Amino acid sequence: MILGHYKKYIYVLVTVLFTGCGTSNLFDCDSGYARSRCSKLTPDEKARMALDQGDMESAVEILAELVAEDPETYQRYPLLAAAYAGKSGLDLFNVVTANFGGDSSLLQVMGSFIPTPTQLGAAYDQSLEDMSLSVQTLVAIPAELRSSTSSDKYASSAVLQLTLYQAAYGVMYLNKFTYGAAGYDPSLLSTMTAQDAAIILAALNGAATAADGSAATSAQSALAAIQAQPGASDVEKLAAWSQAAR
Amino acid sequence: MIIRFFLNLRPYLLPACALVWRVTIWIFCGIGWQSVALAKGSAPLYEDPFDVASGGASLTRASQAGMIFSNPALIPYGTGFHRWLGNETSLIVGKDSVDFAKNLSSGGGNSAASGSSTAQFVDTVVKTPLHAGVLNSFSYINRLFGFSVFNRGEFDIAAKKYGDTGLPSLRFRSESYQGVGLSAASLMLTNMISVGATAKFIYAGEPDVEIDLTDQQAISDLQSPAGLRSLVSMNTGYGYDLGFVFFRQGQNSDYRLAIKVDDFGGTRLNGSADLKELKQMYHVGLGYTYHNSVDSLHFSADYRDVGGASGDEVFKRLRLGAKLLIRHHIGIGAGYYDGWPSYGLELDAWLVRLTAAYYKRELGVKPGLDPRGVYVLGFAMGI
Repeated sequence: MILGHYKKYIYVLVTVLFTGCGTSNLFDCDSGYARSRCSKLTPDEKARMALDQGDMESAVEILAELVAEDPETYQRYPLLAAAYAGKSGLDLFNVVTANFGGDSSLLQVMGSFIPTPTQLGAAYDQSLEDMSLSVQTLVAIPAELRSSTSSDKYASSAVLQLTLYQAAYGVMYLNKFTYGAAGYDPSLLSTMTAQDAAIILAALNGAATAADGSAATSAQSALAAIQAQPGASDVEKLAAWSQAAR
Repeated sequence: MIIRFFLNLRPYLLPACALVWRVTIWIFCGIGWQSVALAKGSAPLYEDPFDVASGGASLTRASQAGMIFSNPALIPYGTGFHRWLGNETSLIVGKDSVDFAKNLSSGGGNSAASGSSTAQFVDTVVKTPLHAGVLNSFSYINRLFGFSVFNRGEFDIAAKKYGDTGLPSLRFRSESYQGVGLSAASLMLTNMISVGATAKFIYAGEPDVEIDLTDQQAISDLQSPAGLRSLVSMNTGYGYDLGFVFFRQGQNSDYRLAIKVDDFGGTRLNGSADLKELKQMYHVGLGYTYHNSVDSLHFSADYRDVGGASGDEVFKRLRLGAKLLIRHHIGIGAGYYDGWPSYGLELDAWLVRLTAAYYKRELGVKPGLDPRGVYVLGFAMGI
């Protein structure tokens, strides 16, 4: 009988079979067979893996360190910016294909891809800070290397991302004054200062001039609509626009 | 075990050992190491599903349909003059891609996709990468020579929320090889050594395209068979493989040492596709078989691409496997393929051979970066 004859070999076969069963690879440094020569991930690969897994904290940490160590490798900047944007809660995956044209305003379209103060509560300030860092990261790439017509894919990506993140930052900043703990609350607009209005307009202006495309056009339309609002100051115009556009 | 094997050698066999050693040295040192960058991975052009189920360690023992590309020196080993004449077809489907593959194979797809179906497609591939393919071979093998006409096509479509530039992207990868292999082999020195060679004509392409998510037309094209075909351009070329097997047979135990040179001197490919050369690679395999007259248990370990010409990491080059063949009709295979466990069954019912296998391919450069679970169902008919 074959089973009796081959008993010890079947035992070996079964051992070989089930040693690595499950989800681990023999050569994985963390979960593989301890005595095998494992293949360690490079920091760049770790960052990519963290991004794929949605672990934005780790991705930001690794990429920020890499950028600090080697500031002239600009290919990493758009990745770091995307990681900051992801950490802030921006739905980048859907926002890049969103239609910013049509009848909807920038406030409405962008509003569907970003978190609100109502959703995040006290964490909203950190989210806003992360979005600001994503903009700063991209602005740190020399202007001559940011071009939508560049053959370097990172350069055209940087331009598109800069448009989206500046628009998102402007809208997120404005939402600070239109959303309370219970939801939409336009009474908070009275707390907006001239400095706040300047930050919002600068962000929207940056989005309007960063590149061509529907997001930039939408930002230009938004700026024109803000200027057309009644009011003596930018604060009043913004407050009026935010209510009209919604 | 290996030391004991050499200690037990008869004195008159020592010249044979010396010959093997000289050939080994010649192969490894005389021809020179390949240090040029990767053009193709270390895997063979064509692998039989049951061999893949057994970890892909096929240098010392391979299924008939895959023998010509696994190691031509295996051809003389077996019983009878005529070995195999038949056709083998296998379907490869990613664990998560069954529905999509069904749609494509029925000629479906959406060549004029609307925005919403494109979004749906992208959404699908973000969650579950699409992986599918087909293997086909028609081959004839006897104890002296054999030939195989083969086709291997495999593609993978995956979406990343954060692509190489930070923006979402779709990545289309494909491996497409077709061609003809003609092998001959001969036993030498009281059948202890087999030397074989394969001459092959190849039609090959390995497109790897990353598409920005903002490029809706390109994404739409990926959803139709015609669109997929347009991405695959092919090059052609002639190449040669050499194989050696050092075989010692006992009453119940056989030992095998195999050495193979893939694409001897490098196989140049002509055409517009990016794949311009298949690098010369050396592989070494060890096998041990415990058997009686009707059953056998074979353990094998292959170390592929010893010189590292492919650029593959060790986890892709080391293959471990076991095959239990019962009454010549039932096979159970298991092993490690790309470092991941693999399993499979084979049922050989005279004219018909059925194979089912599961394995994981690592598409990334490191373990766990981009693995794909793959099912293979094979159907072979022949005598």
